[in-house]
Amino acid sequence: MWSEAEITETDTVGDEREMVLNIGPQHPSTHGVLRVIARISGENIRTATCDVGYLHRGIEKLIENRLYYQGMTFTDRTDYTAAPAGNLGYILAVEKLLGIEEEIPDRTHYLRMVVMELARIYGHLVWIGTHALDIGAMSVFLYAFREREKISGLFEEGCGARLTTSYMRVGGTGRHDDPPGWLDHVIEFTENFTLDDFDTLLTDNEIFRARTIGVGRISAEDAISFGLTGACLRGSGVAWDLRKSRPYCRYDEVDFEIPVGEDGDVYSRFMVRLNELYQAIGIIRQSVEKAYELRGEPTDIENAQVTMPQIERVTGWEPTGETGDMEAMIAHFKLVIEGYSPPPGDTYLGTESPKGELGFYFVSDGSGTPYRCHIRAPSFVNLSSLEQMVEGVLLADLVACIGSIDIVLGEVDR
Amino acid sequence: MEDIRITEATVTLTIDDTEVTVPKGTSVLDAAKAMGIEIPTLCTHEILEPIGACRMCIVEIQPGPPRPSASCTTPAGDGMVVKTNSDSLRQARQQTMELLLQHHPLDCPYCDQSGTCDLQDTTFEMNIWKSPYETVAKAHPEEILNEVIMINHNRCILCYACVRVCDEQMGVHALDVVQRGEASFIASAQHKFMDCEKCGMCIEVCPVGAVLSRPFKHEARAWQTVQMETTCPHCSVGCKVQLESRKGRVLRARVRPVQEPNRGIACGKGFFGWEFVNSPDRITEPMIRREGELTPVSWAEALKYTAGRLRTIVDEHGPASVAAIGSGELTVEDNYSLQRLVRGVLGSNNIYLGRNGYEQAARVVLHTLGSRALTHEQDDILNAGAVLVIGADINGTHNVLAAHLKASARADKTRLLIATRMGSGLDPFAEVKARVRPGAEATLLAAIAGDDVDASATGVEAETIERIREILDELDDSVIVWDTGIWTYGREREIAGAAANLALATGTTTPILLPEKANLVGAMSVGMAPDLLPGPTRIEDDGAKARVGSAWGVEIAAEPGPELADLLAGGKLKALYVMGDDPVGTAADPAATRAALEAAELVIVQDIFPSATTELADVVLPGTSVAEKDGHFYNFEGRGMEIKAAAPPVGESRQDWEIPARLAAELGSDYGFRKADDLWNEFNEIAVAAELEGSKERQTVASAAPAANGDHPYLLATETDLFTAGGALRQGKTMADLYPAVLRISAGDAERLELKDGDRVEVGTGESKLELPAQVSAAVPDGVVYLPDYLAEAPARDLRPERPDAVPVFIKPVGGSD
Repeated sequence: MWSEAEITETDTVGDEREMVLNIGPQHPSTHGVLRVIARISGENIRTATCDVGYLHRGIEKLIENRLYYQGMTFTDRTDYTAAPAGNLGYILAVEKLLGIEEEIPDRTHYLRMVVMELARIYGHLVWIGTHALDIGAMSVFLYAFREREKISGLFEEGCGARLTTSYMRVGGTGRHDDPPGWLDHVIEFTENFTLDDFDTLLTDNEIFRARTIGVGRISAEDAISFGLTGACLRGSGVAWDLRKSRPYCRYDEVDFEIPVGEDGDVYSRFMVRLNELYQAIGIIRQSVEKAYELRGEPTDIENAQVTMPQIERVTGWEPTGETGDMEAMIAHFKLVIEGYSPPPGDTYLGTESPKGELGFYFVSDGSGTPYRCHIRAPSFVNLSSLEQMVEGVLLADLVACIGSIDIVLGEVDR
Repeated sequence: MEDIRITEATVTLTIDDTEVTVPKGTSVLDAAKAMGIEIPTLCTHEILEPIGACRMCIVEIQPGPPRPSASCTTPAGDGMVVKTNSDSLRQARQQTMELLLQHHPLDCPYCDQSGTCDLQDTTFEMNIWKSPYETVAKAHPEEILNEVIMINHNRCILCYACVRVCDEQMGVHALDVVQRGEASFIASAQHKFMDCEKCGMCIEVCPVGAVLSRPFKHEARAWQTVQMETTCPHCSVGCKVQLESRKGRVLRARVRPVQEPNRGIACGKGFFGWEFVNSPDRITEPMIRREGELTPVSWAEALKYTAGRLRTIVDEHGPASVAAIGSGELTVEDNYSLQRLVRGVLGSNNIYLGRNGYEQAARVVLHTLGSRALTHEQDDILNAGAVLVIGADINGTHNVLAAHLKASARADKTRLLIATRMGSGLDPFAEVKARVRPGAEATLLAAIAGDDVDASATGVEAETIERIREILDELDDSVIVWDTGIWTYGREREIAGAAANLALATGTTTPILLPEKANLVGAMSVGMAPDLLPGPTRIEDDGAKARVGSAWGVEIAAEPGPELADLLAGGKLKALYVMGDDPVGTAADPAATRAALEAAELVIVQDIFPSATTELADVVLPGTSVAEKDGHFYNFEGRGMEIKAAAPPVGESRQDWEIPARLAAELGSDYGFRKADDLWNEFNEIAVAAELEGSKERQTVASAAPAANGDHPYLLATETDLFTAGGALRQGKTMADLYPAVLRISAGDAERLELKDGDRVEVGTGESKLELPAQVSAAVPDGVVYLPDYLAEAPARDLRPERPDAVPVFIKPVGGSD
C-alpha cells in the first residue's frame, strides 16, 4: 500500500523538517498488531494513518464455509476480550434468520443477559487496565485483571471455557443454562465487585486528568458521521445505545441508564465506560433475579429442526434408565451433519457489544451454510476516527487516543 | 412415474384449492407433485408401481370415503377436491411416523444409509420432537444373503421396494415378504435366493439402510463421497450410472437419475464391478525394457524413446511395417487418437481392433442387409412382435436389456422365443423355450429359415422349430438378437450369415447384434480396421479420404492394410502399438502371434493391467481406467454415452487419448488436443457414416455342427456369464468372489460321474487339458459343460484357441475336493 520511500522518507515541509515514524505493528501500546504511520514534525503529529490487516484470518469466509452452529466458534476470536458478546450477536442474528426469535423463552434471555453483561465488564476491565498502563499508571492493570480472573472463573463454571467461550446456542442455551449454584456465584461476584480502586487511582488522578482531558476530541457531528458507536459515540454526548434504542433479549424489561459524556475527549470516554461498569452490575442483578423467578422453566425451544436434542435422549442414559429415542437420534444426526437450514433471505442484527454496535449480516440460500456473512465490527469503524483525533496532538497522546477508542485487533482485522 | 403430458383423455381436479388438469390415470400424488406440492412418502419410487404401503401420502378426497386415502394408489378423478395438508392429516402422518420410529434401531451413527435416508429426511422435515411411545428395539441379527447383499431386518420399514423391484423390473422375484402384520419381514421368495442375479437393485431402491451392499459396508459416509455421472463399461448396453468416490477411490455406483438406456436399473456388474479401478496390480508408471527387464522411466523419456524408435522403423522399413491394435473397451476419443497417430502421422493403414465377434458379424449384416440394419433403438427390440434370442443367454451378457425384455414380455408387448444353449433367466417369460446344442446355432437358424439341413444336431425338436417359424411368419416385425461374445469366435460369419438368411427368408425379421464390449460400435465408427476410415466409410471412398486427409493435413495412404493374421504371418511387422488389448492372450493362433511379436523390433503396450502381451512388450505405457477418464462410448444402439472422470488417474498413468497425441507431438505433429472434447468434436466433424445398400443375397453357410464323440462326450460352452465380462472386471475382489473358477455341469452328468460340488475334475481335448473344481448347475443341460472364458485360473481359450467354443471335451474326476 505504501512504497518503501513513503514510509521512511524524511522531508522538509515549509520551514520544518518532517519525519515518518512507524508505530507498530509490534508495539506494546497499539493493543495488538495495529500499525500507525505517523508523519511527525518535532513532537507533533501532522497526520497519522492506520494500517490494519495484520491479524486478518478471513473469519467471514471461514463462517461461510461452515454450518451455522460451527461458525459461532469464530466469534470467540473476533473480540476475544469479551467472547460471549460476539457469541450473542451471532446467535441472535441466526435466530432472526431462522424466524424463531419470538419463541425463545424468557429464562434463556435473562441468562443470556447475565452472561452478556459479565462479558461487558470482562471487556472493559481489559480496556481500563491497558489504557491506564499506556498512560503510565501501572498498578491499575493488576486490580483490573484480579477482577477479570473472577469472571473467567464464572465463565468456566457456566460453559467450561474461560476465554474462547462459545457460550451461546441457537434456539436456547443448550447445556449452558445455569449449573447449580452458578447464579449465586454471580451475585457473590457483583456484591464484591467494586470500582473504588479504579476511581481512586484514576478519576481524580492529576496526571491521568492532564493526559486525557481535552485530548483526542471528537465532536458529536463528527462521531455520527464517522459511524462511531459505543462509548466513543456516547463520550461525545450522543445518547445512543442499542439496548435502549433497538432492544433485544429482555433489555427493555430491566432498568439501567446510558452514561453520556460531554466533551468527546479521552477523559469523557473513560468516564462513560467506568459508569457502564456500574450499570452492567445493575443489569446483572436484575437479570439474575428474573432467572431465579423462572427457575425450572425450559431454556431450549422444542424444535427438532434447530435445537440439538439432549444427548441422553439420543444414546440413552443408564443411571436414569432412559432409553434412546429415534426421533432424537435422527434430529441429532441431521443437525450435526447437515445443520439447520434457514429459509432463503437475508437479515441484519446489531447488538451493543462492549466496543459498540456489533452487527451480523447473513444471506441464506436455504442451505446449511451461510451464503454470505458480514460482520460489522465496531472496533474497525471506531478506529477510523483515530486520524482526526490525533491531528496536531503530541506523539505521546497517540497512545492515549488509541486506548480510549478501545480497539481489539482480532475484531478490526477479523 | 412418467412425464405428465396433456393428452386427449384428461381429468380436472382441485388440489389444495388450485385446479389442475392431468392425463387420465395419473395418481393424485403425481398430480400434486406436478403442481409443486410435496406430499411425504416412503414407499414410492420413480421406477416402481405404487403400492400404498407406508400410508404417509394420505390425503382427504371429496367426494370419497370419509377417511384419508393413499394418494399414490388413487387415480385422479374428474371433479375431485383434494386436501393434502390439513391438521388431521398432519397428525395422522406424524403418528404413522412415530409408529415406524418406535421399532427403529438407533443405528444412524454407523448405518450406511445415513445422510441419504428417506426415513431420516422425512422425520426431520416433519419436525417431530418426541414420540409418546416407548422405544421397543427389535434385535434380529443381520442376514447375509450372498456375496454382495445383506439385510438388516431391524431397520426395515416394510415398503416392499426391494420385493417390487426384484419382481417388476428385474423379473427375478428372489425376494418376498413372509409372516403377517408386525411380524412380517423380507425373505426369499419360495426359497429362491439361488435365483438372485446379484444385481443390487434392492440395495439401490431401499429407502433406509435395511438392504445393504456388502462391498460398500462402512466404506464411507454418504456426504463424504463425490458423485459423477458416467457410463458403465462392462457390456454394450451402456447403462448410465453415478459413481461415488472418496479420496480418489471409487467406492460404489448408483443409478440415478432415471434415463436411457437403462431406465433406472443396472446389473451387478454396473453396481459392484468397479473395484478393479482401485486394484494394487494396476500399471502405474511408464516402463522400457532394458536388458530383458521392464524398467520404470519418466514419461518424457518413455515418449522420446518410443517416438525415436517409431521414426527409425518407419524410415528404415516404410510405414507398412507399423501396425496398431485398438480396443472396444476404450472410448471413441482414445481410438480416434490412435487412429490419427497411425494413419495421419505414421502413414500406415495397418490398424485393427482387438479380437472380437462383432466386427465380422456386422460386416456380414452390412453387406447383406445394408447399413440401416445396423442402427436400432432399444425399443425396436422391446416393442418387436417377437424376439428370438439365439446362442448365449443375454440375461448373462446384457442383463439390463434382458430385464427390460422380461418386463416387455410380461406386459404382452412382445413374444419371447428363447433358443439359448443354457438355462436362462428369460425362460419363465418365454413363449417358446428351446435348448440349442453348442455349435449348432447356425444350423438351427438355417432350419428355422427352412433350409435343407439336418436339424437333429441342434437338439431342438422339429415341432419347436416349426412353431418359431410360424410365429416369425405371422408377425410383421420380429428380431433375432444374439451376443457376439466369445462363443461366436471363429463362427461369426456363419451365425450372422444364417441370421441374415432367416431375415431374407421371412422378410420381416431384423437381426440385431449385441456387441460383447462396451464400445465396439464406437471403435468401428472411428474406423479401427485396415479398410475403414472414421465414419465409418470405406477407404476406397475418395471423398472420405480427402475429407479426413484435409482435416489432418496429410495424404491418407490409398492401399488398405492386410488382415491382422496375414500381417502377423507375413514377417513384415516391425513395430506394433497395442492399446487396451491383449492380442497374445486372445489370439486365434497364439504361437504365430507370439512369434510375430517376438520378431518385431518394437512392441508398445498401453494398458491398465499386465497381460500376456506386456510380457513381450518393449515399452509399457500406463493408461487410465474408465472411471478416470472423460470420453464417449457408443452403446449397442449407436447412442453416444458420455463418460466422466470420477477419480484422478492412479500413479503416473495418463489419459489413453493423450499418449498417442503426445507421441505424435514428439514426432513433430502436435494436434493441439488439450481435452477429450477436442477429439470428440474433431471426430464428429469429419466422421460421416456412409449409407450402404445391402446385396440381399443369401449367404452360404457351412453348417457343420460339431458332434460329441465317444472319447469326448461333452460339448464345451464358453459364453460370458453375468460376472465374467473381461479380464479387468475380475481384478476386483467382489467380482472374483462372485464367480470362482469352476466347471459347471448338469445334475444328470454329475450323477453319472458321481461328482458333487467342489470335486476336482480334469477337462480336456486331445491336445490340452485344465484342472478345476466342478459345480452342479441346473442351468446346464445334459451333455454340455460350462467354463466361462476370461478365467485366468483356467482359460477356456487354451483348449482350442482358434474356436474356443463348442469343442468336444472329456471330463475326468481326479480326486480331491475344494
